[in-house]
Amino acid sequence: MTRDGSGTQLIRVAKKEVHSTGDELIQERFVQEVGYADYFACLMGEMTGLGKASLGVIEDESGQGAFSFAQGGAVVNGIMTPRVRPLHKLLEELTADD
Amino acid sequence: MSVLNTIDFQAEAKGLCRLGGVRGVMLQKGPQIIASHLPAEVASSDALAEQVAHLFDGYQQVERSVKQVLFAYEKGCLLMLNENGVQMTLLLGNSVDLDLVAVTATLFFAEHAAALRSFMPPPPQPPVEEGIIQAPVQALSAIVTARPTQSDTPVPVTVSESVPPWKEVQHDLESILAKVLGGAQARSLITRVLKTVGVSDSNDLNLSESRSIALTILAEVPHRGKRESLIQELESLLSARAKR
Repeated sequence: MTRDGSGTQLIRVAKKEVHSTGDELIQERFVQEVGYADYFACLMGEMTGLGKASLGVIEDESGQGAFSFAQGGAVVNGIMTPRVRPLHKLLEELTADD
Repeated sequence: MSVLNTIDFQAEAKGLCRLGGVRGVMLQKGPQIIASHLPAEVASSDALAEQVAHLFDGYQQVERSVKQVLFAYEKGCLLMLNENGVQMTLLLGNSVDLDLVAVTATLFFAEHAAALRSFMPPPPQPPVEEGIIQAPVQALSAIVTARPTQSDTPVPVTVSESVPPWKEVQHDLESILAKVLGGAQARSLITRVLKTVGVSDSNDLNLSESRSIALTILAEVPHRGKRESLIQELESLLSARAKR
């Protein structure tokens, strides 16, 4: 995925679970998850003075969805998993290959 | 009851800030703030509370029970928890034990579940929204009516420079819509609405008409939370242009 201000385009759907399953539904859900969460992440980053968003984790009853922006925001890597893992593990995993 | 709760929760929120790396805490029920202890760099806790409410409201609308959202930034993190319609936002520094903070916040919810559920927001203030929305338009209308005649002495800032015509409004609108739609989709939506409202030449639109059409276009955004945020953004862009 790229984010270039003109919307998002799928050029690469992340690694790990999403990549390995090749499941289009999960990929689509991931893209929607990132699109929605990134919108609020950017707004809240401006409001709080925390700067540019680099990563997001969304946890619900069905598990965790996480994404991180790599290559200066050009690529989004992510994980959709039914397991709920500690946040620090998830963050380590997501940022390991940046 | 609600006053006592507010006082108690203010103290509790302050107490959470003693955790290592926690720079601020806000507790809210929907957009209504129960307690807030945020650092000065957060310009408006009300605006932040509103966006947090929109975020979780969006998930609720698609029947997803999202319990926790973490956003990491260059200078820190925002951890937001949602339990029984009550949200807690924690503003964290970079060196923080995220899991410890998340567990502590979850315990806080468990401990105060009954009080938080029964928390009643204070009665709403008399409606001022209409005034707020109308104010920029009235101000701009005043500028339009004060348009100088040919015999007037020229002034450095002309009306055409200070009041955005449709082209400028459309530019703002497209950049805002790009957050939820592709460029082609956004342009198509704009064209469709212009056609629907019977605009043959958009260059003839004055600011008030342009704003009204822009709001009609944004009303087409299906998600309520996003829609309201986009409208807010448009209003602030128009106000900013008007001040220039």
